[in-house]
Amino acid sequence: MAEKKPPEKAKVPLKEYYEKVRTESREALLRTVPSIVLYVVAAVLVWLFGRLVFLPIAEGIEWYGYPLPQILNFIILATLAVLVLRVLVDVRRAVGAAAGIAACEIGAPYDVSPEEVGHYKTAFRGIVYVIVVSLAFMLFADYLADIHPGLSAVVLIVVVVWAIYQIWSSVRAISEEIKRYSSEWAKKIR
Amino acid sequence: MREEGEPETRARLADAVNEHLPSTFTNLSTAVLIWLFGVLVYLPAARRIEPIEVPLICGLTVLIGFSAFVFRGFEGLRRLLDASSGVLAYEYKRRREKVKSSIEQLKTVARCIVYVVAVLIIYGLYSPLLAAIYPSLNGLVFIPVILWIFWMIFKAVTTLTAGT
Repeated sequence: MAEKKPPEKAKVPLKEYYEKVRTESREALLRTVPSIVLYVVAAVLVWLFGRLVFLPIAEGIEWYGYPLPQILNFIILATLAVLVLRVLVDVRRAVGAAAGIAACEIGAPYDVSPEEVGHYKTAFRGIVYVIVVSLAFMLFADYLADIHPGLSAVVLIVVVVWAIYQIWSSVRAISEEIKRYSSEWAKKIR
Repeated sequence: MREEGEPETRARLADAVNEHLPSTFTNLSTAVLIWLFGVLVYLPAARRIEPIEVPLICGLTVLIGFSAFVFRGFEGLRRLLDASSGVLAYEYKRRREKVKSSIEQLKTVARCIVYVVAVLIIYGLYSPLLAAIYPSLNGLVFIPVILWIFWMIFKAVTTLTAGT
């Protein structure tokens, strides 16, 4: 009989852990979101100015024998790459925080283990990375096509294959949670 | 053969849920996510780069990934649909007291309906991927699907009329 009731001592660290995850996740999310927005706006502005202002101006101009649009293309691509990498670093932090909140919301109150938070983190990270890389591809696509028409297509195919693998890893990460909820549901059906 | 009672049918569904739902759900949700990203993001991006060859390669890649996970989840899905059709038949019988058909007949009809719905959903998901490879391929697959649906409806109707 004593085994059926969990000891009171075990509940306290769980509750503490739950509150800690909740507050830390909220704070981390509030810290990272403005930075992400800032870098995304910067990347979009670089893309817009490059596409609509600098590249049309540079059309037909040569710099020491090299076509200026190609050089500008390369500079803009490098800038976009730096900005996207910066966004990815912040997204990594934000996803960790969002996964913590999700684990607290989905799991019953005070029933969140560090493993569960880890699983949600992996799953969220995978899906958000796929979204961010897809958005980044949209920024890069036109510039890559300007360098070589086939380059954009090759990058897209690589992104598609990578996305399939990433989606599979993300869903596999929460398979333990799915198993747990399935067995609970099976008990209700009986 | 002894007719399976409601508790046995429910136990069979519970066993199927316990045994097959986690892997089936994992595989099918992966397939759905691949479909969502493939059809709504990557195929339009591919069409923007080049209208024929890039969507073809991109569509084939997404189709292979999507099909791999659909096939992995297929066996579990079949068992879950079989088990759930039995429970559906009992639920229907309980709600409509006047139904004259036996529970076995209702099970067959429920299985036919569940299969038709599942196949229509799977075809709907395959449709844009097949159209990206070749537009006629989509139609060519649709014809056997429609014939199979007619066969299932015919099977359901004959099962019901055999009892009256």
